[in-house]
Amino acid sequence: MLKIKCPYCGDRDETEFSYGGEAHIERPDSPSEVSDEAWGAYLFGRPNKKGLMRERWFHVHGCRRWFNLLRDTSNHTIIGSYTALEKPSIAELKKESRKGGAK
Amino acid sequence: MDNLQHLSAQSPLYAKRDLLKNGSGQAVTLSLESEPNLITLRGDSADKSFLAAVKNLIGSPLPVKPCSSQEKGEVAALWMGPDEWLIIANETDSLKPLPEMALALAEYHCALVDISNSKVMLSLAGPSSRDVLSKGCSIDFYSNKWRKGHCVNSLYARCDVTIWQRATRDHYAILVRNSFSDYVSDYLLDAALEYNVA
Ligand SMILES: [Zn+2]
Repeated sequence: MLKIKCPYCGDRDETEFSYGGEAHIERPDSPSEVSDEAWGAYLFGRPNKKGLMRERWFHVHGCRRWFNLLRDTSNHTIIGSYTALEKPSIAELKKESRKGGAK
Repeated sequence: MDNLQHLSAQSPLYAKRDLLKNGSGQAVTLSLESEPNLITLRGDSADKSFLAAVKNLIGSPLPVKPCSSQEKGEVAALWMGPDEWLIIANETDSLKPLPEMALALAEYHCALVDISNSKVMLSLAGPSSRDVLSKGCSIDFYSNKWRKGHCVNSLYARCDVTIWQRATRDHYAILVRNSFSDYVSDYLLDAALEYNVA
């Protein structure tokens, strides 16, 4: 069981959340103009990284907001979380978590 | 339709009120709160003028701190999310009718939805109430965050609930959707059983 910090509600059990895959995927501005390869990469291409990954999570049984989480997929260490409108650097998130106050 | 006028909305737990009473004791008391009027309000919490307009309208300020509530007279506003609140009014006439409220907020990008009678409000009180809550929910009810007015959305016995502290200590309101209320109240009665044994 993971303890996940919602940027709004604070630490909650994993059971209150649902997973939304990799974060910060940008939809091409004009889908009709991109190549099939580029569109396919947008839809399906994910690095599935082993290590630090930015992911989307949904606090479905709490405040019902989507947010982002920086998690190490090899050992489940959660470095920090931030709202959907932000994109702090990994260094900032690490610094924040060392202070014991990952937001 | 005249002969239907005496009918009013009835809580799905109405028939169970004696069971709740019989399951209550010194350590834990369970009861059904009278049917509150519930309104979901969505809007921009960063907009000071919107916050002021709502306060003017409902009497109570809107809480902007996560998991907190504000209360004024018969009206309370609970934080549900960064742009969402649950407005609870004990008396029907403590709030203006919804169309009038919507008109008063017409200039703001916001939404008001009447969700009265969609949920049951249970009252849980007594010195063992935190233990009863802990049996079905992973939240730490002994943390110092729990003061009067603190409220959380979480899971109790795998059902979505809002748990709201009503007094300085040992009194909580539990809001649960109608269709889950029978199961959740059974679970609460079972959880309370051991504490109420004389
Ligand atoms: Zn949350």
